[in-house]
Amino acid sequence: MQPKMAIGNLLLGSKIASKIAPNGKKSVFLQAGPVCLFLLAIASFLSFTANFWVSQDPGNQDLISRLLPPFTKVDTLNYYFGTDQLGRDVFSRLIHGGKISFAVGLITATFAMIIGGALGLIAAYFRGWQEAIILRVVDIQTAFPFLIVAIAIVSIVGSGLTTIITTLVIWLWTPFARLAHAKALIVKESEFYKAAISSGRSGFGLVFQHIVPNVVGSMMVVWTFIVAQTIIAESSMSYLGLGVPLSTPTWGSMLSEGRNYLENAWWIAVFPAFAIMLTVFCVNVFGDWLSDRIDPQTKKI
Amino acid sequence: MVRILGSRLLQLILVVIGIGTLLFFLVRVSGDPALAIAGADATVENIASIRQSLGLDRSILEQYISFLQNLCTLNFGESYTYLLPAMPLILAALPNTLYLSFVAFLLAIVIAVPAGIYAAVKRNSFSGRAVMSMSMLGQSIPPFVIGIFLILVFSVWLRWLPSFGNEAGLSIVMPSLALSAVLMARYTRLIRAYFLEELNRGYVRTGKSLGFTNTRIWFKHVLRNISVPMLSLIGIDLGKFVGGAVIVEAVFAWPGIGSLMINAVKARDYPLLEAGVFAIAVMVVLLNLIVDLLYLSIDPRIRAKVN
Repeated sequence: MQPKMAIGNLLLGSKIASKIAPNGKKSVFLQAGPVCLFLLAIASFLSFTANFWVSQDPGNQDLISRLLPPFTKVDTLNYYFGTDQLGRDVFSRLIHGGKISFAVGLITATFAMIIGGALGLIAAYFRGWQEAIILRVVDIQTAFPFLIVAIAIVSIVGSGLTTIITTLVIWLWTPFARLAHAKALIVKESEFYKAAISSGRSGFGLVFQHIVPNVVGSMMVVWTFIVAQTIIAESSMSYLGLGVPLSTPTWGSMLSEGRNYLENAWWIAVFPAFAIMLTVFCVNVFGDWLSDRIDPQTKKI
Repeated sequence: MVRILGSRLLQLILVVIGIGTLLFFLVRVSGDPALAIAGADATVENIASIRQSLGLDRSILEQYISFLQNLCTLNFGESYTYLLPAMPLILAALPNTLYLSFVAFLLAIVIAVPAGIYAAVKRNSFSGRAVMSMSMLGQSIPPFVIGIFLILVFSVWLRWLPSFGNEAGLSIVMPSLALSAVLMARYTRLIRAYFLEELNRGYVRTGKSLGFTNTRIWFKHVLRNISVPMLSLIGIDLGKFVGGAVIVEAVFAWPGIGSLMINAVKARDYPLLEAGVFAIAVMVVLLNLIVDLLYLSIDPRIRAKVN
């Protein structure tokens, strides 16, 4: 009953999406997609090249100039976004912190897509027990708050970039598997697929030539939404102190340090809060735009 | 009916055994909990006696079997930090978590249903699209970020609400708002989409031609029809919702399971952690069961199919 329900939901979603378009005017945000992509590209470029252009060391502590408000100038140093409780430059930490968010988001979503996509295709191609097992795991994992398990795993195994990415991939492959499976089943019903089979094709060649190209578009759309989810998950874990080691600045850990200084130094928490919000917002808007372009039939599942 | 109960029960057993086993082996693989409890200046004898009292000196298979036995009797051992049985500690924190989740969920529904209907009905007007833009933004802000903004505005600037704990009656306001915002935004979008879909249906036209008022058609008929797909989405969301609750509890130092578990994680208090994960697993499966039963009570077609 469960796997069928999953497909049911997917089809339900597609039916709705195809009907909204003629009804309502398109949101302003749908046209902002390319702009958001451009902003994201600039932001991630600035973050990844932070070592070359941000003059201040993000880990450099200076207790004399602690909790300075934004746009303070001390000697030759400009603290655009102020300093935190240890006198570290918030602007520099913010730019450097973006590295973790962007890297974890892109790497995790990509691995999750490859693994989830492969498992979804296996399930749809073989049906049988492979399908039963894979879909069962997908259902259980979707229903269970895996963030809790992720927290437990990281706390036991120890934090670090690899642990986080692995844990998040284990968490986030399921939507890809669900989607690839459902889409592949639709392809399997099509005439061209049956024609390919009757002309003797099978195995990898068949899957890669006929199923994969028909699945990739919607996978890319879901990929963008998963990037957004991953950025949220990573910053949540960093906020809880379960992210990368504290010596590396991340938006989540900056936010959690700033939580204790909201009374007298709002800027420590507010800048990373805006960074997370705007990044996720831009990714979501781009995802909506993309889904409208490539694949209006699969809205978010 | 029996089939639904049976399938959920099976799911519960699988989830609990699966996650319990995963945690059990991760804990044993990752290092000696006795070292963590004993602290840095413990003697060899100290550590050995702690190992013995925790049963860590037995073979891994023996430990695993007794772990499974304890799982059946809900005995997770004593919390390392509180020195009390772990499960009662979790159960004592449970009402706070349920209270927070319930209020947040109610808030999301109470606001999302009218907002979604409004956005659907006024889909071509500025206000309708403004609602959609708001919900797009709302979906992009994780609960703990909303929490920070709420604290800044209502505790630091306006000084209306307490920023942590559950002492005053008003303490619930900010945590529940932070937790419900994402759901509110998501459900507004979905209700709008489902609503627009339903407005094309024949029964809406029939209702109109019979002279029913719009309000009657929307709330009595359309809402009932969209509640079935909404319920299935709510079932899917439950897991994420509970995950969000843990973080919100951490932000507001809300005395629930989430705060307890975060502290357990930091102190490497594995019995407490395992009991917490177990309690949440049971909670999520039970909530899913309630969703299943709601399906039956709402949709006579599903009821007919099951019987």
